[in-house]
Amino acid sequence: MTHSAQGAPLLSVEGLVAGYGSVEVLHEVSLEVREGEIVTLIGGNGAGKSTTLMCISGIVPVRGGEIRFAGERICSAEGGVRADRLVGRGLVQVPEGRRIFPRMTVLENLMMGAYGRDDRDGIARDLEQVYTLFDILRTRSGQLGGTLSGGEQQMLAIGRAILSKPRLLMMDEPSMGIAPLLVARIFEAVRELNRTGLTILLVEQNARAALKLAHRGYVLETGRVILADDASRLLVDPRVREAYLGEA
Amino acid sequence: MSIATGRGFSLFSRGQLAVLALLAATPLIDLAFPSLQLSAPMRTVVTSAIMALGLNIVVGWTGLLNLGIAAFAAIGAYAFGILTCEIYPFQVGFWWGVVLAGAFGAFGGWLLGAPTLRLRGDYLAIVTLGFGEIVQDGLKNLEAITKGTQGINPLPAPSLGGMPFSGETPVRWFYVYLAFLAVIVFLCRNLEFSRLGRQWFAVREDELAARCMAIEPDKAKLKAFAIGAALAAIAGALGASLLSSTGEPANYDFQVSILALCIVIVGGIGSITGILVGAIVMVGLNNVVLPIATQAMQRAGIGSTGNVLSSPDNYKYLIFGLALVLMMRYRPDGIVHSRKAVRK
Amino acid sequence: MTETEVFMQQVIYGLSNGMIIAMVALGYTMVYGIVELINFAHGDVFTLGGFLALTIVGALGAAAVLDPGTLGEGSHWLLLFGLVIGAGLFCGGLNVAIDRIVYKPLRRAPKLTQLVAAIGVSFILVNLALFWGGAPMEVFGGGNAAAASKDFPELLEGSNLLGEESNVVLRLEDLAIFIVTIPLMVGLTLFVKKTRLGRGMRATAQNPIAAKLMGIDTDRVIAATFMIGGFLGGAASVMWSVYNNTISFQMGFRAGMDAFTAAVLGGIGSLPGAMIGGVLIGLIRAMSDQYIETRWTNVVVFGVLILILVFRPSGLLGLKQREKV
Ligand SMILES: Nc1ncnc2c1ncn2[C@@H]1O[C@H](COP(=O)(O)OP(=O)(O)OP(=O)(O)O)[C@@H](O)[C@H]1O
Ligand SMILES: [Mg+2]
Repeated sequence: MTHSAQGAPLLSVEGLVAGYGSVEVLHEVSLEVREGEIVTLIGGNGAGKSTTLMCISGIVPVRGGEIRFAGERICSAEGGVRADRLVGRGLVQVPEGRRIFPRMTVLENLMMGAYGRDDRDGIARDLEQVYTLFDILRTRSGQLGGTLSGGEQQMLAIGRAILSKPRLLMMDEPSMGIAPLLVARIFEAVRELNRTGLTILLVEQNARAALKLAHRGYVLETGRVILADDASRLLVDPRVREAYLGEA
Repeated sequence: MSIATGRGFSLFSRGQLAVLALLAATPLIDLAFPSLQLSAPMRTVVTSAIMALGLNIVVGWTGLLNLGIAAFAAIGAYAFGILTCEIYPFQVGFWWGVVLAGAFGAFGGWLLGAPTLRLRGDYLAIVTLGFGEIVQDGLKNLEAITKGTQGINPLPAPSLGGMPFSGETPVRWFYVYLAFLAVIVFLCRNLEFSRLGRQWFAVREDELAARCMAIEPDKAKLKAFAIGAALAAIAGALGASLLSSTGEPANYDFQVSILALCIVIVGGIGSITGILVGAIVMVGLNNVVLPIATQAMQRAGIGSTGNVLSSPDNYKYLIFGLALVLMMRYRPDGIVHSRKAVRK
Repeated sequence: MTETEVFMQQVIYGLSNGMIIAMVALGYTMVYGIVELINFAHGDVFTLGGFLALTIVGALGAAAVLDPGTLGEGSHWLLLFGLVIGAGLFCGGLNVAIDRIVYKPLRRAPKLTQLVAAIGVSFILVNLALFWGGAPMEVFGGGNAAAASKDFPELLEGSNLLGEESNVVLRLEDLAIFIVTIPLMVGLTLFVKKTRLGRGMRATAQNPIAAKLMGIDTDRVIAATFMIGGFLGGAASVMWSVYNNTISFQMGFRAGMDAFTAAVLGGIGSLPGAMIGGVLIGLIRAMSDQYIETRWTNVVVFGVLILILVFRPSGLLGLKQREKV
């Protein structure tokens, strides 16, 4: 993997503390995503990966530390930018479990991605890009979202996010519950999107595929970052190999 | 605090004993301040407490919202009326009347519960509300049996070994009712720590997990419904005896169900002691404080009688409503219960 | 009157009442769709709408309103539309305020906690209506007890629209109900389908977290839902008052139960479901009044409610289960 496009930090998370009720789930998590990168966040079940993304998106309240996006502080314990405003700034997430709108058609779902946008031409262009990326969505555009297969729903969720015109696209386990062939297809799409200049933060359980795709990676374990390095080096790191790649 | 702690056998917890003793002492207050005329409202405190204890089994222990508990009180009252009134052939007398009223109540609870207990919580609540309205209208419309809005009367008062009770012996009458309450508190307390009680808590906390522990949630819920309904029916029967009439069906309307719910919630969901306290507070407010305040204001000549705001009696709904809203907002577990939780 | 004429008359009553019920039902269904709360206070918000309308009519002078000479033909309609909008805005605003003050802090609390709080709000509003009814105003009949029913003046008088000879009567009030409710329902449908806020409502109802991730301000969407639901309830209360010529502080309980039953019948959460359910409940009521007995009608309606909840909780148009990922 070449370290082609590495610019200024687009997203920086510093000492992030968060939790639910009386349970603290993230203990001072720090990570950084630079312009043009694919960064992956890997870790076992319950490590806190989804929580991290939800904090960045402003859904789960932050208890400590701060999050900066494009140089501006968006979240901290004192409050931050409201979740719905972040999307307009280009901070877009494809959430875990897809969360598509079941009683809207595929096209309506995609257009929900463009909820805050008014640039008709831009929306039309992005819609075309999504249809090119995932042809199946074009043929199913009138079908209800809830009746799509799991893999199709994942493509729909990614397409919907693209219509939000992201600067940083965060994806939470896009490969979950999807056949290997389709996973390859989706990862290929991620690579293509990155080539067009999109910065990506990818959360994955499928560590091998993610590390092969990414420039850099972070390993999260029970709410702490225990490793951070170039993806190629993590791929050969004995600790990663043992714990996440299933090799002795 | 339970029998199971091996602290030796005790009929009641300390809190329960304290409240029961307090209730037992109220006739003294009446002696000291006859103008308060406490004996009638105190008997209402007792019947309301019994109804609320029944509701508590359903709402507090099993976690099902029943908005139609008054319907079971109505079933109890009318069963008592039909079984004891001289205009019907049964005339089983006070004691059998109360017992059979409880049985009819349990049957009513089972009848309503069997098809509906699988429903989601909020839907079940609405179904029980609808049931309450149906029972009310049914009683009103089936005049041939229920005498419609006249109510069934006269009804017998309790009697013990030929010693009759009547309006002239309110204190004796009160103690009989208090004895009913004490027995029911005792039964509830034992239920709470019984196998069935633990099943109810399990169902309330997590129905799925309960199922995994080989508890059949539907059966446990049905028993809660039936037992709760039986207690409400007994309360209804006692209330009817007190009035010597079932009263009109509208006496068992939604407001009555909400009063019972207020008692449970204000006193502390799930806590027997709390419910006894809640009954004193709510009924005291409703049947003692408001009427006295109304009289006092009239005597003092404050406000004309035409002015709604000047009659404390007109603030009933507001008080019920505020009690519910504030309790849900600040103390969803109720007064007694939450204090316990803080202490832990 | 022939059998057919009797039946046709009941159809007219049923449709008129049904449209009103449908408007109230929309308020239940929209709020339930978006925050999964049975807004128990909705019926009482409806009541207060009626009291506001009567107060306005009274302030304008009952005598002037009742005398067609003073206002002229068209102005009766103008007054009606004014009342619909005034009561609508008032009930909408009230609904939003209730949500802000009571429901919003409890949004994450267990459902039953929210429902009990809503019942509490309902009782508070009933009491406010009682106070309002006791206000020393000419229209409220002066010294009448606060709890007494109030006469609502006949705003639209006129002869039988089907002609003087016809046994079946179609009054101006019946017509007015359709003139007011149909555009509101069509407007609502278009609003939800076509506008940005409407799409935000649908999205929030289907998956609130995903909606936030789409950049939807869900708080605003929820407030808008309460506003619209309240508006429709307020508009309905004016029509109800004009149609029945009487209001009371407890009228919201029955109206609310009819409407909630309608919402459940149509499938709670579904807008067309609430409309169809409302009309069906109206027709069921009318037929029960005629062919069973008026005094059994409430039992019939509650029976329908229970049967639907037990045997088909998703309603006629409802969705099998709320899809939750
Ligand atoms: N809404 C919630 N309420 C309470 N606890 C939660 C909630 N969401 C997550 N948690 C807890 O927080 C911890 C971290 O969860 P999170 O979903 O962030 O993990 P994850 O790394 O994404 O795991 P996975 O790979 O299984 O998706 C877990 O222990 C989980 O039980
Ligand atoms: Mg996760």
